[in-house]
Amino acid sequence: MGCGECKWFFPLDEDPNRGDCVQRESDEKSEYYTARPCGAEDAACEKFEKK
Amino acid sequence: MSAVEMRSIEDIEKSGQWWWWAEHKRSQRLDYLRKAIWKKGAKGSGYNPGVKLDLERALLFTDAFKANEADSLRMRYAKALANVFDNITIFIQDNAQIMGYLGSRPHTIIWHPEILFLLNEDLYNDRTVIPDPEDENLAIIRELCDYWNPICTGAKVFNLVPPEEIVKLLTGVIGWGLPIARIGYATKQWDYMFRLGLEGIIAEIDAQMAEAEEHIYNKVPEPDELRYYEKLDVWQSMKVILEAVIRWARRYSRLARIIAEDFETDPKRKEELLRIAEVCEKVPGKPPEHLQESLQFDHFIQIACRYEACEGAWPCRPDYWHGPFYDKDVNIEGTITHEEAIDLTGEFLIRCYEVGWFWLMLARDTLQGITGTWVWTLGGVNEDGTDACNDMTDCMLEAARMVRVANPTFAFRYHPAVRMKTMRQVFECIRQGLGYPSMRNDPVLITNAMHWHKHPLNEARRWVHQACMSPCPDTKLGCQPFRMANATIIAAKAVEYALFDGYDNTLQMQFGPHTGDASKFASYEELHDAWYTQLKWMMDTLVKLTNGGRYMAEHLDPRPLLSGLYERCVEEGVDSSHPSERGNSWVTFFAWMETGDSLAAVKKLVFEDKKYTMPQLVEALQANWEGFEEMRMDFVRAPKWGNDDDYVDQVHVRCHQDVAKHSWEIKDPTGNPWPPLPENIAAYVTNATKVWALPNGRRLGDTLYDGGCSPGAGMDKKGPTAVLRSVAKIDHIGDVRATLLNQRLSPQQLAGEKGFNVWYSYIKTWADLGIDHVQFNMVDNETLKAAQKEPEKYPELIVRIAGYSAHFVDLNKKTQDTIIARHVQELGG
Amino acid sequence: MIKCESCGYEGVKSDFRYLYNTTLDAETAYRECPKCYGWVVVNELQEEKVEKSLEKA
Repeated sequence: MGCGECKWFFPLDEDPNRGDCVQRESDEKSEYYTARPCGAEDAACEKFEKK
Repeated sequence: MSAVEMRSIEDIEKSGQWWWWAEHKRSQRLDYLRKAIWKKGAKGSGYNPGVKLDLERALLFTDAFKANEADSLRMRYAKALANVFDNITIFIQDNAQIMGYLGSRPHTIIWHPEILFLLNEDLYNDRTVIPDPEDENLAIIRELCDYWNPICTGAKVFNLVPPEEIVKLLTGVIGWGLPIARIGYATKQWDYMFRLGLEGIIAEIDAQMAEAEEHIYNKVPEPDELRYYEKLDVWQSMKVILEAVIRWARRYSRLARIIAEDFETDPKRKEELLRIAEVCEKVPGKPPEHLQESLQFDHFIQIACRYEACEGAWPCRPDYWHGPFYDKDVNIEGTITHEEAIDLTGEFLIRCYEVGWFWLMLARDTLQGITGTWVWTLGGVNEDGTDACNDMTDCMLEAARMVRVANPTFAFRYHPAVRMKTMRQVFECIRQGLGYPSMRNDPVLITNAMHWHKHPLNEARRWVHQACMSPCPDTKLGCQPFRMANATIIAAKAVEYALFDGYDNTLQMQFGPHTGDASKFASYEELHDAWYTQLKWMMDTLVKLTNGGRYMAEHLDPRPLLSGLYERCVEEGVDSSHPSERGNSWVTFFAWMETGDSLAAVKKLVFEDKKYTMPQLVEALQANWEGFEEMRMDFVRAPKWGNDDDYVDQVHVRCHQDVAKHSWEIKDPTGNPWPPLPENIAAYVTNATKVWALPNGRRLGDTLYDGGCSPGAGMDKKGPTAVLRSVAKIDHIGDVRATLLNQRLSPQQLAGEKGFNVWYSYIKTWADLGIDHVQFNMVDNETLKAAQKEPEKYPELIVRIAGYSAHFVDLNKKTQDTIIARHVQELGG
Repeated sequence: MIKCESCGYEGVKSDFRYLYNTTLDAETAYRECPKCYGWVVVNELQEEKVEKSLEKA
C-alpha cells in the first residue's frame, strides 16, 4: 500500500504522484492541521486510512 | 452585564491586574491564539517544559547541502534552505489568519547546525529539549554535530585571529559570541520588497543575469568583466531561494484550501480559509494591496530569514509600512473594521512572540524570558519631517494591550509634533504595565545617525531599531545586514584592569596590557590614563575580529536569501555581507556606568580627601571588600551618578568623551567609526560574576547598574529631575550612538487623566534636555513581591528589564530582586 | 557569628561565600552556607564588627 491510496493524501494538480499528507493534530494548547509533502508511491505509515 | 463592565477600570488599576482586563476584552480568536502560545524564551536559562527540538530543518538542510557538493558554498546554502521550504511540515492553527512558523509544530524550536559547534554541543548536552524517542534522536544529533562541527562557520571564523585572542573572546569579557552573519541582526528593506514582490525582484535578477551573460558568454571578457562569473553565482543563488520562499508560502495557500474544501464545516471559518489561500498564493510573490496581505508578506519574510539565520533582533517599523494598507482597508474602502484590524494585528504580534530556535545557553541566560530582542519601532517622522504616526500606530498599541506579549516590544520615536491621540495610546501601554514602548528622542537620534554614520537627513528619518537601541535607516544603503552581537564589551572590566595591571581576578589570567602597579599611582591622572589604555585595548581587540568576520562573511557565511531582499545586492550581484552599505556599526558597552562612579570615588577619597591610600584600596579590592566593610561604605557614599552632582557627573562626561574620541580612530569595513552604545539587557545580572570588586563599592556577585546611563539601583537619591539633569550632561549626539535610561514610576501616582498629564510633562522635559532614551516600569513593589511568593497567580505580569520586556515569573530570583530594588520615582511633586 | 537557619551551621562571616546584594548601600546581603549551600541573609557591617572583635579576642 502506498500513500496515494490513503484518505489523508492530497495530490498536486500538476503532478498527481506528489502531494501532501494532511493530518489533524493537537497539543495541550491548540488544534491544527499539518501538511507534509509525500509521494503517491511512498510506503504507507501507521496513520494510513484507505480512501 | 459582562465581567469587564462589572469591574471598574479604577479597580483594575488599583490591583494592577491588566492581564485580566485584556483577557476579557480581546476577541475569542485572539484569546485562543494567545493561549495557544508555547513560550520559547528561557525561564532562567532553561527552556520551558514541553518545548522540544524540531529536527526537520536540520535534516532537510543537511541532506541537500550534502547532495550539492559541486556547487559554491552560497549555492549549497541556497539549495539546502530551498529543500527546507519545500519539505518541512507546515501547519495551520484553528482561528489563525496569519501563516508562517519556525518549526513543524507549535511547541517546537528549530536548529541551525551549520553555524557554530558550541551551539551544536550545547544541544547535544541539553536533554530537556530532545524529543522522543530520545536515544534515537540523540544519535541523529550526534551525527549532525560530527558532520557540521569541523566545517561550520564558527570553526572558520576562529581561524581569523590568533588562538590566545580566541580564548579572551570566549570569556564574554570582550565579545559576546562570534562575528557570524547567521547570528546577525538584519534590517529589512520594505520599500523594495513591497514595491516589487519577490517575483518582481526575480525579474530584476533575471535582467542582471542576462546582462552578465552578455559580458562573459557572448565575447571574450575584459579582465574587469571576469567578476561576472562570481556575480552570476550570487544572482543564481538568490533566485533559487526567492523562488523557494514563494513556493513555501503557496504551500500554506494549498493547505488552507484543502482544509476549507475537505474538512471545515463552519461557513465563516471556511470563508477565512479561502481568504488565507488567496493571500498566501499572492504574497510574498506579488506586492501586497491590503492589510492582511501586507502583514502576511512581512511575517513570511521575517520567518523565512530566520530559517536562514538566527537573527537575534527584529528591526522593523510596522506602522510606517502597514499604515497605508490599514488606511485603505479601514478608513477609505471599509473592507475591514477596526476590530478586524486589531485581530490581524494582535495575531501578527503573537506570531512574532512564538518565534524561537535552539540557542546558546550563554545567550539564553542574558535574554531571560525571550528569544531575541524583538524591538519594533513606532512613530517618528516621515522623510519630509512630518509626523509619521497613523491609525496603524494606534492599532499596534491597542493590539499590544490585548495580547500582552513580552516580545516583540515597541520603541516609540517621540518628537514634538506627535499627535495627541497616539501619545495617549503610548501612555496606556506603559500605564498598563507592559514596560513598553520605550521612548526615543527622534530629533536627537536623527542627528546622531547623521553625525556618526553620515546618513543623509531623509534617510536618517527612516530609522528603525537595529536591535534594542541603535538606530539604522531601512533604506537601500542604510540597511545593515550584519550587526554582530559579539561587538560587545563588559566595560567595567577596564576599571578592574587599570587597578590590577591588566590582570583579571575573576578569570585568573593576564588579560589586558600592563599599565603599571596601581598601588603606586601618585595622581588621579595616572589612574585615568591606565583606565583609558585598558578600554581602548578592549575596543581594539573586539573590533579586529569583528571587522575580520564581517569582511570575510560573504565567503565564509553567505546569506543568499537576505541578499536577494536587498536592492543594493541585486543591483551589484553581491552578498548581503559585502560591505557596500553605508555602515552602522557600534560597540555595545555592558556595565558602563560603574566606570565614572568608580573613578570618581577614587579621585575623591584617595587623591583629594586622602582618607585612603592606593595600596589600601588595591588590598581591599583584592579581598573583594571582605573585611573592609566600613571602608566599602565610604566608597558607596562617595558622589554617585544620577543626583545632578557635577563632581561625579563630570568624571562620567570625560569618560564618555574619551571613548567617543577613540571611536573615530577605529573603522569598520565600510570606513565608518565604532561608536559606543551603553546598555545591558539582562547582562547586568549574568555579568555580575564576571566583574571583580570595584571602587564604587560593588563586590563580585553584586548586580551591575541596569541601564546604559541609569544610576545604580537606589543610588539616585534626589528624584527624577536630578536623574534627568545628570543624564543630560552626556552629549547624546556626539558621545554615544545611543544609551539606555531605566526609570520606575508609581502606578498609583500615574492613574487617570492627571497621571497622563504628569507623565506627558515629564516626557517633554526629558525631550527638551536632549536625552535619547527612557523606558519605564510601572508595577509596584507590592505586586512584584506577591508575584515572587505566588508566581502561579501572576503568570502574565510583565516587567521591563533593560532593552526588552519579559514576564516577571520567567526571571530568576536575582533578576527579580534587582527590579524590585530600582528606585520608584515620584513625578510632578 | 552567623548561623544558617536551614542546617544550623555556625561560623564567621567570611566562611559564608558572598553572593550578592540588591543595592550597594543596603545593610544586608545574601551569603551562602558552606555546609548546606542555602542562602543566608547577613547584616554586613554588624557581622564584620563581630568578626573583628573575635579576631582581637
